[in-house]
Amino acid sequence: MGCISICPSRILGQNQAATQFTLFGHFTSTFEMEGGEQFSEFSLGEHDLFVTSKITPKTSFLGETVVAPLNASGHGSADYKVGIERARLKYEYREWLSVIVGKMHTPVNYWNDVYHHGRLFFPTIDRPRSFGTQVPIHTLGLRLQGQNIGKLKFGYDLVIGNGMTSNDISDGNLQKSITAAVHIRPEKRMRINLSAYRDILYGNEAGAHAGHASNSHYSIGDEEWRPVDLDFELYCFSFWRKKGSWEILFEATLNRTGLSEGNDPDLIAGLPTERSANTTTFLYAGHKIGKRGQLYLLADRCRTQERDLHIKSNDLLKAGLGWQHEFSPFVKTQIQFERYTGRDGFEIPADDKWALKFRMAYCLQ
Amino acid sequence: MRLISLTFLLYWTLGGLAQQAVPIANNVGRTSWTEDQIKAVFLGERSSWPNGLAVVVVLPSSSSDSFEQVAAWAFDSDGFEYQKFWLSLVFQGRANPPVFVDTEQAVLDYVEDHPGAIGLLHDVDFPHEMRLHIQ
Repeated sequence: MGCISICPSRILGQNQAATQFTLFGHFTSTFEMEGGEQFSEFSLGEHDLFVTSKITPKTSFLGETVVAPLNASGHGSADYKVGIERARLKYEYREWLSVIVGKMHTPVNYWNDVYHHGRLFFPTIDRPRSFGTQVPIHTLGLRLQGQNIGKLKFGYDLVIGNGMTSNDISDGNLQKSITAAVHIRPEKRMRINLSAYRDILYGNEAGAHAGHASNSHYSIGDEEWRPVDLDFELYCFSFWRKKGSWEILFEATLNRTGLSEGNDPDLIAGLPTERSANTTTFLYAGHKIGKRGQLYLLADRCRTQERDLHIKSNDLLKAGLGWQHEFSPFVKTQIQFERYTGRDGFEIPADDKWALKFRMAYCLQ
Repeated sequence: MRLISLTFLLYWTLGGLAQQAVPIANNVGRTSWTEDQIKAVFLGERSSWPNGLAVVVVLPSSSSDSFEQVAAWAFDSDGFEYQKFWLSLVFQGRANPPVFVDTEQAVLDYVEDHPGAIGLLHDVDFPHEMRLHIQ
């Protein structure tokens, strides 16, 4: 792949580091129609400096430093921020056991584990909506990993780390988030993933790792918001398969949130005691046309119940039709036509929007 | 007629051998493998050998014919898709990047110098003891 190496690996001995730098970036253009109003923009998206380094034959480092628009989903981002999105040290003992420490993508579902900031790998222009409501995108902590075990290529990931209300540097309490994920790969181009995630949202806040600050009661400044502690559970299922000309990705999540024990009785007076059951489903189906083209469909639904104390209730649906063309393994374009809709009667009103998006994603080595 | 047939058979056999994928490795603790096991190594699925040494996959330049041959053998696809596959796998943090060198001769040289390294040859002579036998 011709990666840029600080020290060409062919001249290195076994105990010397080989470091490679790769830059991922993307450019997007959007045209939207909503309620009789029209809007368009060109935007420069996240630029991701991806670093891997082999420190010893079994110890490696992986880092991602991202320069991202301050208001990525808004209209008219004024500035950029720099963030360390991944910085992890991995010791591989055998296929069945690796120990990883640092900041990592929480391996709850296929999308977060495989694509995350890599727009070049995204099958659609946007992430599934679960990323704006449920998925804890990062964890800073300790991870045990095994993969490619046995005929089914079984893999597991167990993570203990700072919770979703922590900041990017530290946590400040004893409680930690726990992730348990397993997957199998019965075929070369198939992966089935199941996971469970548990955390406590202290003070009903969404911190640096939550990834869903945009529509929580807290961040919207809702008068009904209460700083109560909440138990947060997430269960995910992912199915990805590529066969012949077809590629399919299905992601489903179930999130249950409810009051933790030990909250101030005055604070929880009148609040629902039953846990919410929120769901998201995402389906992508692509069909290869020609050598480098792909036509695809997507459907993305997000439902948050009214009794949820963390996220504002909603029932939103997005459907789309897109075309992808790869110019090289390192440059691709996508054009996507989208319809946003949903059901009214929830705290977040139903969308009624049409959008046309274009993206060019690239990787420099 | 028999001479012509024999000559043709010899030419066809040698030509086939020249294009046959031959896995070579340096001190990996075992010389006999199944084809699927070797292919799995070229797909980043193995991180260590039976003797505990770390696996180092050595590939020829992505612009070479040899790279296309490795992609076809290990991945049942072309070099374009094989490059994407490795880029994604490394990005996920699930495998270390392979070492890329210019030619098949450079693959052989690298593997000879690095215990745990593995490469795939088609057109280059190599020391017999480096060959991994496919069961």
